[in-house]
Amino acid sequence: MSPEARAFEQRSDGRLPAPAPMSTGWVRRLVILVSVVATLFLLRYVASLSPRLRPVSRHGIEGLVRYVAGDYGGAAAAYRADLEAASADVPLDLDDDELAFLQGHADRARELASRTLARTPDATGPLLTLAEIALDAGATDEAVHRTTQALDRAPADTDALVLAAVARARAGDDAAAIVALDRALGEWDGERRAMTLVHVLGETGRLYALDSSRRSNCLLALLHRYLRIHDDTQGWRAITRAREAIANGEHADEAWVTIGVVHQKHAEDDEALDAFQHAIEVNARNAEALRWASIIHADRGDLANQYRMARAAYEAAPQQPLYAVSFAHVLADRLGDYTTAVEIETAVLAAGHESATLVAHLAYLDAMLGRFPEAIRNYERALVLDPTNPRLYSAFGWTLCRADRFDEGTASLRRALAMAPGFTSARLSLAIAYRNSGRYDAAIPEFERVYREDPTQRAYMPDLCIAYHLAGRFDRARACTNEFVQYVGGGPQSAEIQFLRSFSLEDAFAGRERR
Amino acid sequence: MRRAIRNPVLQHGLAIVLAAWAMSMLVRYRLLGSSVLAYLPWIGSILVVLNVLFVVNAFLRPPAGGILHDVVTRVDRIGRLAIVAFVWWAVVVVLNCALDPGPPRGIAAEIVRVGGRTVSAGVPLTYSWADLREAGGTDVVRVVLGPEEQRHFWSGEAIILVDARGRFGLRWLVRMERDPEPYVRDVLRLTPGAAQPWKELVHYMMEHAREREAAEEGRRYLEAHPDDVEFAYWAGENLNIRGFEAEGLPFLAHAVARHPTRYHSYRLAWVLTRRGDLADAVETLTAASGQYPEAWEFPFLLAYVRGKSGDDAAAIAALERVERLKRDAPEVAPVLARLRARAGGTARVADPRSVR
Repeated sequence: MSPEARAFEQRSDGRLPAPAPMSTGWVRRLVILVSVVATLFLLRYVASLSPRLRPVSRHGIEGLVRYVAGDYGGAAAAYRADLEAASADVPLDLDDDELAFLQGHADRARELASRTLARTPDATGPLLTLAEIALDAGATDEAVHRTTQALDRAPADTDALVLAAVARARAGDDAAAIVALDRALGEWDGERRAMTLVHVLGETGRLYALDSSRRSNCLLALLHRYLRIHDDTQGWRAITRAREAIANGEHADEAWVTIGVVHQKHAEDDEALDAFQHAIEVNARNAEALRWASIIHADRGDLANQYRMARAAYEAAPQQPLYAVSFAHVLADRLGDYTTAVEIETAVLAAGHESATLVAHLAYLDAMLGRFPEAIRNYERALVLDPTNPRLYSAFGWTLCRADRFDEGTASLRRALAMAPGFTSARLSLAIAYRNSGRYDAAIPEFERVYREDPTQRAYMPDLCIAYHLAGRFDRARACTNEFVQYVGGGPQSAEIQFLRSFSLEDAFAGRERR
Repeated sequence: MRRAIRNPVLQHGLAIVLAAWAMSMLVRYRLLGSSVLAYLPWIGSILVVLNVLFVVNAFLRPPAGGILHDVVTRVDRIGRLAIVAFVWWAVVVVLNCALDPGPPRGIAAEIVRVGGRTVSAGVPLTYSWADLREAGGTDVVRVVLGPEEQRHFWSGEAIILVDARGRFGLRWLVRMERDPEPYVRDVLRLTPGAAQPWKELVHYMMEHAREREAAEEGRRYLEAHPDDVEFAYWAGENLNIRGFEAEGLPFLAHAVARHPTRYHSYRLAWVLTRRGDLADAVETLTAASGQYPEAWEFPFLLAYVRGKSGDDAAAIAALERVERLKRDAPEVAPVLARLRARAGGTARVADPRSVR
């Protein structure tokens, strides 16, 4: 008999008993538990978002709620209001066109941008401000013109490429928008302008507001791929839109690339490679699909296929620095074919795509080929372009040492260490440079510090032991060798280690004296 | 204390900790043999989830009685037994692997298939595995992949499977790693001028105690790329430190012949001295001393070599030069004094100009 039936029998009036208080307590606890778990998941999701999507303000929270609900246009408006409120306190006399635009002073922003352009015609920032003003005013032709001008000056600028995509999409040229956004994502260098994300959200909302037959699913897939950088869950929306684009036969190769990239970001390399191969089947000259396939083969250590794909990407778009430089890196860093890599990078440089990274890599290639004067010249140029980079000083210093210019080389290495004292590989280079130039007493403290700061380097401790020996500090050399033997776990030692442990000048003569 | 032990939340919390520990150990120490073993971490996951549900149940305190209550009670009892068995098995596996006295061995193998993936349910949950087949074999064995291994391995990949016998004879997987050799050979067929993968292959062989193969491969590399002095020095020095000086010496000699730096010249002379090749050592030291006249280490080592060959007069001349170059050079003063005394001041000291 059930407890309810037993309770019913015990009651004289035969009516059902009221529900036990325990029952409501159980439900209450269940509600609390579910609420706590849901809150934890929500907090975890919000924490995973880019800070730009979760500003702590009234407008920011409104933007986030609208964004999560899929109201991208509403979210864009709220985030924009948040940016305007956040920048309201900054004084206007800063003469910054981007700031004036953020504060909502379009006329002032236009005036400042025009003035800056008159002063420095190569500046891209004012052009982008003018493009944003034009987008706000609905002057899409003007926006396209301004972004084109900006891209002429800085072809790989992320903000310029994204704004160009938005402007072209607004102008109804989806194909051009896809190309621009694809390049922005391929050469991704992070946005520097606060409004870029807001424009993308606004454009995404505008496209969703269109009739489904009039909107480009491939473009939407790319916009979601862009948003994935700020919110990983956008990846699944990107895949959904991309699959719709493929089903409609709309830029299928680009859509497959989007699917592949999202899978690759989720460490699903098999699925990603499948998607890139589909893209290549649709369009064998899709350089981005070939480049991504090369990246996956590289992650797998399949060098032959990495090389094949990187070469195919370069051959598909030889004028695009992204593919040329990627291929040159495979040739140089993975294959050691420095000569061909130099040819490719020199051509990129000659086409006007100068950057500190490119010039420094060219310098490295020259050094590897033993062409030290060219290497030194290129490093000097790279340092002009990027004078605060300790890695450049370190590489420059090491190259000077390889050219037997130890004084200048060690000076450059010390400069790198002054900029970044924890830069262990630069310190190791300095220690080796001192040692190779016979300055053993200077080498020792640098070696000691390297092994102290980076214990994994202790496998190379014999370098220090030999430096002690060459500095005439035989006792320290022996102690160092003993420490190394302990480090490698004892056991039988090579004759080299035994000799270093026991070396004494006396030994050369002692045997004969005993005889 | 007794009340705390009887607290169901604490009991199930302890069960979760034990099951999670056992599961992590079974992923860390993977037994080879039956593919069934690859599913043990799955059982651990089920036990963890089950006990999480029991903790939730203890928190909610649903109405007692009824079939559901009986089922929960029975599942709880079975779960407790399963956890005890599971933890005991994990302890056996840990002892088998951690106390394994035997050396590991590497076997060429192939990954037949990789399955599963990581899902994120608040925390990343891994359920990835690989089917492995030893080279030339037909049997396929399934092993669990750890989170870091998932992305490294792919279907059809050539690998080196490093296994060990185990303290209790339970064969286990120490590690598995990509076998770079077939891929490097592929690349060299594709682009015969590729230097980097060739060097990486030599490095790989060196790191895997295949020094003689490394020396042979390095020799072939150096024939194709004779100007790569840095490689020659690196290979020579590494072979030397690892006790393969006969193999390493030609590399050092090649490096010094191409670019006789102060340090590398000394290292070559040092190895020749240690091996007792005194004539070549003298030749190297004399040449280096001429090139670096301010360096004290060359006449110092030359004195040692002369001492070994019984030429006291030349040793004295070399040590006198050391004294001029480095006043505080260790051991020089007493040895020089003794040599001079032995010569009785009458022996003709070799012309210092002959010692360079």
